[in-house]
Amino acid sequence: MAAFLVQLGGMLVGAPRRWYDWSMADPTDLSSPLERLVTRFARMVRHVGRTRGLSDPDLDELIQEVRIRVWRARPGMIGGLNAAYVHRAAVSAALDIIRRRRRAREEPLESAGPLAGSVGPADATELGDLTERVARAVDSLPPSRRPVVRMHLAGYPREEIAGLLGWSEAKTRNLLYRGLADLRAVLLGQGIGPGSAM
Amino acid sequence: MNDDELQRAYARSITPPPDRAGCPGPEAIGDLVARKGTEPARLEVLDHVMSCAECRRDLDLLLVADRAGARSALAPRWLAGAAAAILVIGVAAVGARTLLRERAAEVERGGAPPLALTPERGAVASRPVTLRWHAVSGGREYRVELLAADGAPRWTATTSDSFAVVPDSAVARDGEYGWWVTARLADGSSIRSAVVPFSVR
Repeated sequence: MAAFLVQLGGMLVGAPRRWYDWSMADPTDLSSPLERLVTRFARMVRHVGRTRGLSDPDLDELIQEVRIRVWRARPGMIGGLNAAYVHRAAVSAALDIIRRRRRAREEPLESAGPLAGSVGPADATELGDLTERVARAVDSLPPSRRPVVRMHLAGYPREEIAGLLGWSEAKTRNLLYRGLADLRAVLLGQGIGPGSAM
Repeated sequence: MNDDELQRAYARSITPPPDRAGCPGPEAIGDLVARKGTEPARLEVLDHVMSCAECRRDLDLLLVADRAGARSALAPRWLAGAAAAILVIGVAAVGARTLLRERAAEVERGGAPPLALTPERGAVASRPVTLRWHAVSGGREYRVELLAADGAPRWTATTSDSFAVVPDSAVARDGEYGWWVTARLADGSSIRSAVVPFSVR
């Protein structure tokens, strides 16, 4: 409160303000609406990020980038810095992180999903063959349905697929079911049906 | 094959590419999230992204940024008037601030004291500048960052110690700086300090 009054007083008398006079200089000072905004954003990032399985370092990096951007932008945007800015800052921060990551190629990703349980060489060969045939069967789907099927197989919920593509729930469901039916038909044609599970 | 079996087989088929030459650029994935461009173009990008482990990681980060940012933007209008409300209700605001501080502490890791020790807020430091902070119980490592007066990061370091010496080159010019430290805990969570402004003369 005192800090806010000092800040307000400074504004009224036209006293020069230093960058740290703004309460955002102290990220734990929740008297700042902006700080509340960033704190809420951080909470959302962790919530949404974990549902998508993103690692904590990725999420920390995003939150820190946004915090710094908001902090930097503050002096030049008095009164104009708002939730919409945080949204824009978040997306541009994510793009910058991706660009940096691509430049640095920091760490190779581990291959997706280790095989469950222990399998012998013969089983592994059979599994590898099945995996490849499923991948090829997906590749053979019509382009209008293939990405939807891929998203579904990658574990994205239908609402996320619809949101990303700007489709209605009904259209998404229709294309997904038809795509999955096509996929099963292709696999059945290769002799992969019920009972071919790994 | 049921859905679960298909998903398992599909997950095994998604591997990181040997290089990113064939991958769409970050902007194209950004456009996909922002739903910019024609549908066939977006479907083509999505088709690649969903078959490439690294592009999927990129998409997920953008989706998180977009969704979290959008949800934050749904903030009630009272945010803009909060300062005025604080002026009007005076004493009540002090109580509200206490409550909000508690909420922040809950978000960042309940009740943790500020980490940053020296230089203190507003202090004038001389070179070489040594940053010191409280070691935190369960702290595995600390990431410390020095910021220029405009907020631009000047120097960063990760250490398991509770101090770091800033290279003189990072504080070559006299003036105002800020610093903060984040403790990463063994359980994967983290605690961050406030940004502490100080000067170098």
